[in-house]
Amino acid sequence: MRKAGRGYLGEGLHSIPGALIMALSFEDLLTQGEFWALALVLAVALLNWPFLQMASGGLSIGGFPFILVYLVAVWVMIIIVLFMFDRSTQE
Amino acid sequence: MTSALLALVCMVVYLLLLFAVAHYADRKREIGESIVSNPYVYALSLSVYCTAWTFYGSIGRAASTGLGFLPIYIGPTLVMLTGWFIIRKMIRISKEHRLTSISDFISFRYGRSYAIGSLVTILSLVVITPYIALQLIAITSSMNVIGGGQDLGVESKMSVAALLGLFAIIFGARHLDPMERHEGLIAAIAFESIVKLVAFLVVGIYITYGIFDGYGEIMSGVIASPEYSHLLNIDYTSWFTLTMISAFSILFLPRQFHVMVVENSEERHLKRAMWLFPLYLLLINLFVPAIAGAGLLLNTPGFQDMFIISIPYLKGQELLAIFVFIGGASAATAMVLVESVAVGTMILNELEMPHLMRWIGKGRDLPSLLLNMKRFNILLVIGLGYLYSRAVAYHSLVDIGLVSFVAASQLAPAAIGGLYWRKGSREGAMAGLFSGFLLWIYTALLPTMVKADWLSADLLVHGPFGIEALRPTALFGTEMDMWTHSTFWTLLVNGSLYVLFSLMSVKSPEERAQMDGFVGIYEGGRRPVPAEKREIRIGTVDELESTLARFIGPEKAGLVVKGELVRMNTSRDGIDARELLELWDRVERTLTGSLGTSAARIVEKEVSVNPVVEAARPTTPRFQLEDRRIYVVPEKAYEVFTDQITHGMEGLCITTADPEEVRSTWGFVETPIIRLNHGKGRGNRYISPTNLPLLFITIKGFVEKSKNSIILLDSLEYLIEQNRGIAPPSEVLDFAKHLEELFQEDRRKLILPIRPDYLNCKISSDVEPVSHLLLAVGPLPEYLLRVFVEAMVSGIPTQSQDAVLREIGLPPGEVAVGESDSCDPDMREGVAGPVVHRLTRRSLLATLRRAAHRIKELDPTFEIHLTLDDLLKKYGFSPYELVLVPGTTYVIEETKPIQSLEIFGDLVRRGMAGLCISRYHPEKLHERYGIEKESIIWLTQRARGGQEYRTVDPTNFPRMSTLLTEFLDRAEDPLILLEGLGYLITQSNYETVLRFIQSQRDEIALKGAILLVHIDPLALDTKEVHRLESEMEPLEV
Repeated sequence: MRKAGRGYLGEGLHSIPGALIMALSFEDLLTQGEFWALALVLAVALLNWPFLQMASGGLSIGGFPFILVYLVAVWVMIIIVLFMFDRSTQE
Repeated sequence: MTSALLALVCMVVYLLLLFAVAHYADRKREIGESIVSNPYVYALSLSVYCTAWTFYGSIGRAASTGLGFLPIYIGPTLVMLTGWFIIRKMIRISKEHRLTSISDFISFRYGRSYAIGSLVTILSLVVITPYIALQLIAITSSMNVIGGGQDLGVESKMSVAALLGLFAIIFGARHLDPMERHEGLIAAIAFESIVKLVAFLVVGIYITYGIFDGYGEIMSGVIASPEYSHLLNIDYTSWFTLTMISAFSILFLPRQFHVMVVENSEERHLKRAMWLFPLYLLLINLFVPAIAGAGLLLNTPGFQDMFIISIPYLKGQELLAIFVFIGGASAATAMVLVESVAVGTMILNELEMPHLMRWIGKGRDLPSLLLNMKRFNILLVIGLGYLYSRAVAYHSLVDIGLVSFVAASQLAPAAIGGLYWRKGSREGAMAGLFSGFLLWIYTALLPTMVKADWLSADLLVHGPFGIEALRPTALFGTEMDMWTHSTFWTLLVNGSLYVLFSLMSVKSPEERAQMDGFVGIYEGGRRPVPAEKREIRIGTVDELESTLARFIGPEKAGLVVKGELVRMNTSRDGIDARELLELWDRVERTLTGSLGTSAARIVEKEVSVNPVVEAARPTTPRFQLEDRRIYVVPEKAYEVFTDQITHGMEGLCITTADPEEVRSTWGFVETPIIRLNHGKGRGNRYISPTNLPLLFITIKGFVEKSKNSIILLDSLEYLIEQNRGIAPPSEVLDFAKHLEELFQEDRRKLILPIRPDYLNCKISSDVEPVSHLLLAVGPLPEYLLRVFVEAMVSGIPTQSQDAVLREIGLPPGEVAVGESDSCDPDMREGVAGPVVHRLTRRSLLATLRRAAHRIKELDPTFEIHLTLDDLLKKYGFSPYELVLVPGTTYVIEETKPIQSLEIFGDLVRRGMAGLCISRYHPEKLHERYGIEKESIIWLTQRARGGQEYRTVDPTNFPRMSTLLTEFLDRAEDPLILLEGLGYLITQSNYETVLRFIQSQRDEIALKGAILLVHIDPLALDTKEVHRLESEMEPLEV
């Protein structure tokens, strides 16, 4: 599933000479099982204790409890990552 | 007309609208324009996860426990992160093996276990019964709200249940689909998902912005209220547990498996669904805290679950309330429809079909019976839900949804372990599932029954028999919330036993085969099971189709078979044995789709040929047969066969007679009988006599599976004659040759009833062992000649071919060899009568030599060995047989007589009568070259009495001559090897030996034998070698 070409993160860095340049491909990242395992672990962590406890401090944003904002934000992030996967692997 | 009745009418109209959508989708599919096969519909269909519990239960839970409703939706969102690996693998496996339910899926992995399939089905039925009850109560409760607290005056739950049952049958059980895909149902589900989302969003917007000034105002009000501010607190343990069990539920609830895996039309749709579904979950839950908070702040009367409908109703927004009611009913309906169809199918395939298969007779209209049973099961599932809804109190239904989730989680170790862990075994899965289920009953179901006042609360307080350590909600003193407690203990025990028993058990070959198909599904395609190792099916394409038609109807069976033949790029007439095996594999998968894995397995067992042993008689067998033999038994074949199978042998009877007659005459009960018959679909087991490759593979499969087999083939003569003019001679020869090779193994015997007239050799007893079928039976020697000669003449012009064929006495042009009117004396050895099958090995080879000589004249580049060596070996001849002309003495020059002995041993094994006069000890010759000691005369002066081998003094030439003469007089097709010439010369002298050779050479020529003489050219001088060579023909080795 690895594809070359699109989505190079390091395009701007090509001007830097030497062996320090590494070309990073976001697309390649999304097609690797290890990435999704990491994403799952991170998502489970973000949506459980202790992160939930940190977000439950009683703060509010525009009248919205911060915990609610936090949960929706993480949820939306997950959707975005999944959306990127769909977009990047379209034929 | 009361509002409740109006609500019911609206529901009926809505269901009719759904039916129209479903009907439209089905019609579109029939014309090849599926509206369902797209990723958006697929994603919407996954939203069947959101039931009436989402509509009402989430709000009630949010109003009582705050954010504690969210994990139910976070779990599935997290699962989507693994969707492309876990879910896609499940889809791939299910499509590959035509698995149509979660019970199929799990039981298939573990060797298509009937026990596991049944257990998963029962567990699923237990899981969904309260869930369906919840939906029925939610619908009727919301109808009560709409009706201002008045009910319909009739049993509203029963009406709703009956209505849903009727629609479930219409949507999901109009016909039997081998793949269990219901495009109409999915279209309806997708439509319902839109309706319930829109209803939720509309009412959410109304309450949030129509009644209040926005989300912030509601949340601020909740935070500021000392009574409700605790709702923002989270119980982290319970949160984690609910996240986990909802993650398992999205994978293993029957309805989720059905829409996500079975109804998936393309894998790539999953990618879109992976983000659309979490987005849907986010949107449908967006206003849950707001509606719950609004309900609390407004002090809305009635159940908190009903806030979503009671708030707009009490505010005078009746239309909106009805729209919300439709949304809630939509959510409930979708769940009931899909779940009842999915579980109804599971009950049919796993619990009913396996028993049905055993007694269902021929002539029954099976497809109709199966369809009616499926419809009954759908009504049964909904009926059980209805009964449950009458028995439990409303407040405990919130818990019952979670009880179902914990139960569904019990499938996780076996299912996920089955997907990724090769060592997972049937025993492990059974142990885990069974223990998890029992513990779930104890720790989750019993407490809810206590809450519903079905059982005494003493059990929860004091434990069974007063043992506090075994309290159902606090085992061994663990104090957690009930769901965490139950999930913890059930999954711990379930998972541990699964691993433990898997490590201890030995997998069956079938389980190992299924395991590869699961765990290794992506590894370059499924590792193909070698054809010889596969379960052997019998019959032609027509029989295969008629077997399939018994279960899915003749029209569908015809379509399936036709489709598969096209996919395999073959045809009914052109299909060969291996393709037929592959077709059976594919049909097996179709049967799996229609019947479930365990029922399909039972069907396969019924049509495959398995070795069995008849009841043994307490006597010794009358006929003593040896292993590794083929016996010609002209008169008593069935008697001999019966004698053997009633004394411990596993028999297979292949006959042209009526199997029932054979059974009743000879008393077979268990022994399988295959009839050689051209007929279509008659009886369960038949093979067309013109399908020799399939017949061979069937026999081969049988003997390989058997520990000690005997086959009766009645008859080879019939097979040869049936194939005359139809199958090429090479096919008939291949069949006979492979049969001969097959029965050269231990613990195998073959009985051939053949008339003596049809044999080319004399038989002297009722039960005669025979070797070299290709020369012994009927026209097979002529077929051999034809095949060899055709290979030889293939390189010369057609006119020359005809000339060669005429010269050797074969009719030019025609493949079939019938009566021979050849004038070739070798082809007719004075036999009169209509059957002229008397071509012997010797005459066959002589004809080939003659043909080769003639072809060489026409084409000087022709080399017989290049053309014929491989063919000769294929049919059991040695290339040297073509070179060695009877009546000739040959000299083989090599330092050590290695090649000489190997050639001799090989030719004797192929049927020549051999005598080896050698300097080597017989034991050594036997061990190294496989030469039987009876065929050896040891040249030695150290003769002793009582030895088991013959010896001759190297100086006793008269004795040597006598022995040779005796041998030549009695042997057919004699071959003599004289090795040790150097020893003879040193023990006597060169001249004596030369005279001996000269005398034997004449004897050999007169008797038409072959003499091979080995000399070491380095042991003799040039003149001596020349003089010997002049007496003999050189043989290059």
